[in-house]
Amino acid sequence: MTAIAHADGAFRHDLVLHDGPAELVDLMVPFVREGAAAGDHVILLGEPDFVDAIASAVPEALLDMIAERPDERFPARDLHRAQQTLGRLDGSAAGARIVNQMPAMTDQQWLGWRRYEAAANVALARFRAWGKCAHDVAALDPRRLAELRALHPFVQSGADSVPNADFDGVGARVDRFFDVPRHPALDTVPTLSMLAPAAGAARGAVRDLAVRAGLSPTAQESVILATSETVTNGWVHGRPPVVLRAWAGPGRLTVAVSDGGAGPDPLAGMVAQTAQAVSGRGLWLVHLLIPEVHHRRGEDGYTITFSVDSGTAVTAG
Amino acid sequence: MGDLVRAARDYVSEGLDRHERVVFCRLSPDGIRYGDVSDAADVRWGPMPDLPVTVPLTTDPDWRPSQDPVESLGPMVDAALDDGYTGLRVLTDATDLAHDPVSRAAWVRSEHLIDRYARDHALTILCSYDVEDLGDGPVAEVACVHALTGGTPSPFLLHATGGGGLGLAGEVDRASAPALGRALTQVAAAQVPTPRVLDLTELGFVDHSGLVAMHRAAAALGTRLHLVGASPLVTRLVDVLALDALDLGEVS
Repeated sequence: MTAIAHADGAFRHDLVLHDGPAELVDLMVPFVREGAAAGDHVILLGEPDFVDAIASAVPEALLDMIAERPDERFPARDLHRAQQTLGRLDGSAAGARIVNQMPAMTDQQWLGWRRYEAAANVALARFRAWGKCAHDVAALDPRRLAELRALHPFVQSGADSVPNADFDGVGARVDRFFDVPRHPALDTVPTLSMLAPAAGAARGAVRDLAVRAGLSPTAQESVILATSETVTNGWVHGRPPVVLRAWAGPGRLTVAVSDGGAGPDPLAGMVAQTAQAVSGRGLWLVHLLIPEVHHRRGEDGYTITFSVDSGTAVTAG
Repeated sequence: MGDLVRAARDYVSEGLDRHERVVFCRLSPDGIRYGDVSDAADVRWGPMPDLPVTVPLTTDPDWRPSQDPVESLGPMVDAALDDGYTGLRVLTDATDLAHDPVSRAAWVRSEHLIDRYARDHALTILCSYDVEDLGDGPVAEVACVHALTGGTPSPFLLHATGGGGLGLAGEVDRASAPALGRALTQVAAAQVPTPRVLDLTELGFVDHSGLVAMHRAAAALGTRLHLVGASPLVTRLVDVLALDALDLGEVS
């Protein structure tokens, strides 16, 4: 990784460590101001108060503002949105700067966001853009901090952004992303269990549960699609036995699909796939529609688990 | 086979009750054997050895399944009406046309043209295929272009709609997406109006591979498919997958 900021065709991916929103505003205003002076397009993503504070401090900047609460954020959708935005700017002479105030996250959500950070290095590599992912140090335990340092080629803590010796790209660390504990639902008795279901039978059974759980029509449609795509993947890419389990509660449905294989690439599902792609579209759509997706690779095979509830903003973005 | 004979007898009885001309014909690449059915009790299945060729389906000795079957059926419907019947009801066995893949593809297109013609003419057709003879795959291929089918030989149905469009009903996933792609290619080639419209109102489910199959069929024909009646989710999938041979929304 070169230390030259903003070389043509190179995405620069910085980790910003800060002590809270007030300090983050102070750290980011000069970055946005510099970008504005250089004629860069600035994309600002974070909580409404933060976005407002930057926008009013640098009124001259060409700002693309996305104000979202932490519970509205999810990794694959955010990465797709970044690809779309940068793709639109691709033809213009302007460069792009991205300020991304990362949301607070649970341990489960962290598993998705670290895949996002690794996938950004790949998916955004071709764009002439400089992105800063800002994490509040108060929310980072030593393990998360070490992982974030490994996934960002540059680190800023304080005024300066410097090359990061701990960066280890998309190597062995990423290969172990799916070696995680089982999803907690797997330790409980499922509402539904099917051995070797055809995709159509799996859809029918999950449709019944989704209706019983009282999910909104859109949430029903999304969980049925996700079930169909993951069962199909189990048959096409995995190894027998394909097993479907589901847990239904009021307003919530969790589905797990297992097979005996080694599972997909640990960044699968994060990077946009189009009509020309040979494979990977189904899993990407699952991530685009459903915020809560968990992957696990174990000795007994691979399991993908996803949950929807009535509030899931499944068609947002 | 017992089921089929029962269904065929009901079908014939219904036609006779409505004072339609009821005919049985067996279609094959060599020609068409054809005869009036005047009593439901006469309906058997399998080869009908003494089927009289009273009226040829076509006078063209070079008739092929790819030819527009309405050229032959139209005059037959008119003749039935002229003879005082209320319409024409046909019972066919087209198994022999579905053996060979090339002939089958051409016949699927013909079946669709018949389906379209029958929508607003005094024609009713029951097409039968011998599953044991053909196998499930070929039967699904020909069955999917019929508005109504007995059993579930194909998980989806591609049928004619008013205004010259197409309608898709049932479910499409990875297992049936290739069949949808073939059916669309065969049927859309027969469509005159542009943009070509595909109504998804009755579609219960489609996965990404079904949408990609629609996109590829349209792209292969050098045209675009206009999807109407798509759910919000399907609309979003078409958008994010960048399937640019598919259009969405109302036809202007």
